[in-house]
Amino acid sequence: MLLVVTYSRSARTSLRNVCRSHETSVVRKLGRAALFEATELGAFLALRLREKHPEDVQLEYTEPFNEFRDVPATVREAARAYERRDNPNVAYAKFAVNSPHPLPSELRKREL
Amino acid sequence: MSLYQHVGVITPGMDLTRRAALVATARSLNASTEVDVAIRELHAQLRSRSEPIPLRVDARRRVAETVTDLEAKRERVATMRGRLQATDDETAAVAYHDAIRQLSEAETEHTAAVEALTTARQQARAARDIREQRFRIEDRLENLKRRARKELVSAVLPTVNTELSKLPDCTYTSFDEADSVSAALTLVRVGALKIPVTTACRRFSDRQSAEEWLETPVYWI
Repeated sequence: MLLVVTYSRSARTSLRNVCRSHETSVVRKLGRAALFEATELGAFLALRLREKHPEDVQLEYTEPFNEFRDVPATVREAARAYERRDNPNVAYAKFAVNSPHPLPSELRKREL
Repeated sequence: MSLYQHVGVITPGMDLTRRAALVATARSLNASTEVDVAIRELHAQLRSRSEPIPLRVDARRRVAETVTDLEAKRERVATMRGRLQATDDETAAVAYHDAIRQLSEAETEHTAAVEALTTARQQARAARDIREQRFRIEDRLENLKRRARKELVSAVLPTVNTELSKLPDCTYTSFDEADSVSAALTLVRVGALKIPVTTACRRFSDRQSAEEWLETPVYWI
């Protein structure tokens, strides 16, 4: 899908207008951002916004996230284990120490 | 819009944006509001936060062009390799090496284009953090301005209603219900104008009585 994010009041107004008049091409409205369908019409609408507000419109191409394809098992297991922790008041940084799970500093360094 | 822009020419059937005209009336009297200082501060904050966002359109186009070129060059290398394997003569070898050299150049150009785009995107991201702050300030500013307008209207409306009831040949006592000519004339009387207004309505018998009631010079038509 196409993610459209606006960075000014006027760009947000234009986005709202586009969303109102092209509901079928808009997958989701998120305040000052929206997800457009990955069709040529979606792209046309997104490009019109960028043409109108070149500095205040950010466009990104999004992909569905598949954690089994995109993320190592260690990260998935860490997330699962942390959400099932016994003590809800313990921060992950602490939780990871002396555990099989990676530290936040290690996670930060590794790109997907 | 100044008060003059709202009520500078008074004719029957004139268009009057009432709320905005009321606000302009209060402003002409230098009325202040509780949020004036905050509004000025936010304006100053906006001025201090202006960071242009680098446009990435050329960088994006360059990446797309170089990748197309790269694919074409790769295909050419493959073709030349096939031809060399089939014929194994001198010209085919030269053509093959030439194709490899061109591919390597295309690779270099593509890498440079990708790096340039990455840098531009990082700069844009940093500049957008500032846009983000501006955006929030703009929203707050708009809220405060709305509040200021509301305050200005409440400050001036009672006087306007009182004066309206004194207007000759006018039966209205409420600004909101009055016809646009009566409403505009009352705003002229209440507000402070530096330029004479033009009246083309038959509310006053002559120019002098118009000027007396409106408390401002008048072009009498």
